[in-house]
Amino acid sequence: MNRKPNIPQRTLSLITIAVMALALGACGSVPAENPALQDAHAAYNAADSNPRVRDLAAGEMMQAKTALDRADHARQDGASLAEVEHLAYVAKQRVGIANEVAGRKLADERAAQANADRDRIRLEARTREADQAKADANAAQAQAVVAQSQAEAAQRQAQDAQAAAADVQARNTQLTILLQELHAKQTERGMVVTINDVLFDTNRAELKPGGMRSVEKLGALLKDDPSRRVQVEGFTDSTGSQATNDALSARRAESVRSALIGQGVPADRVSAKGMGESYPVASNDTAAGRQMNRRVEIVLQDANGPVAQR
Amino acid sequence: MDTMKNARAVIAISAIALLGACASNPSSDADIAASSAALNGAVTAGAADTAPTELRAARDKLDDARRERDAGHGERAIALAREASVDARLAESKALAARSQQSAQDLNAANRALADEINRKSNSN
Repeated sequence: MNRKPNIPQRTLSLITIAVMALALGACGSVPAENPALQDAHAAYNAADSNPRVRDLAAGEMMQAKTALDRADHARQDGASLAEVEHLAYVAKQRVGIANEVAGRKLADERAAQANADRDRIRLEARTREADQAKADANAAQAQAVVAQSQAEAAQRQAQDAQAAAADVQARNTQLTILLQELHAKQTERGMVVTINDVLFDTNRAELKPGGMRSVEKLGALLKDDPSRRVQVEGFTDSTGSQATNDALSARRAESVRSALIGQGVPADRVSAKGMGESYPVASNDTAAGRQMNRRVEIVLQDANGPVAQR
Repeated sequence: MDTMKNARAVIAISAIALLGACASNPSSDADIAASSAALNGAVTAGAADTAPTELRAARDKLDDARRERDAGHGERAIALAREASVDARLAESKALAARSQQSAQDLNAANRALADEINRKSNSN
């Protein structure tokens, strides 16, 4: 083996060793942890553990994962720190994009829900309005029915009142006509109908048919007229004893009262009284005068109060 | 002599590798164009209001990328352009999310107002 100068050869060997050492250093040892890459992993894991991000931004998460894998591989392959940090940065930003996309889609879902809510609120309001209108209409109809029945009742009442007034008027008219027929006289005590002696037999209290007719007519009108009270008063002339005259006048008055009651006039509205020979209306000295004094007077009073006594 | 030949070969390969690393200057044009488009998208989405930080970062990096490209540093220009792109995309998605959130908020507020109005109306009946 021919000798060569030592020094250059040794130098060459050193260079070779250094180069090899560098190569070994690049491939052999596990590279130190990279903070930027750790950040990117942490961000990715946080996003991946959020179901909303996983579901709503699946595509963006996949891109983030690809970027993260590239950064991991670069670090494992011994790429420069700047290269690893660059790829880690990109991965981290892609995670941020995934988060934002998920946030946007969530907001869009809420907006869609709000639109549906608005339609529902409007529909409910319209339904409520329609129900209310229907209820109002029903109430108005019920009110109208009530009002109509009230009006009908009022009309019936008015008709009844009119008919009653007409009845009263008709009765009063009939009574007025009858009283004229019977030659009734207006006195302070009321209308007085005088039934003459000729309607009674001498010393008898029973009314003759002529007197009976007058009393019947009067009774028919009085029985339905609760506003009138009747007092029947009997009178005689001065012939005979006073006791006889009192008794006869009382019997004649009672006879007329019975006839009125027989016509339906309530007994409590008719009273009878014998006045004897008192209150003559003519002189007892002549036959004509005495005849006028023998009489029965029927006093009609409008008021509900008692018949004014003589 | 063999060992010397070997050593020379190693040195030559290493030198070529080093030269290759320096000499190769990949084009960053595509990445810069993509980054620029992403930035425009972010601006259109309203990121100036809702994501100003991300938008500024994207713009600065895009400027840097162009400078590095012009300086002949293709690799650095590509890396900067790609970072500018994700920054711009993040700014855009933030702006869009904010817009959607505002919209949902407005709709819900309108619904509350509507419900209030309806309640007032039906109560006043």
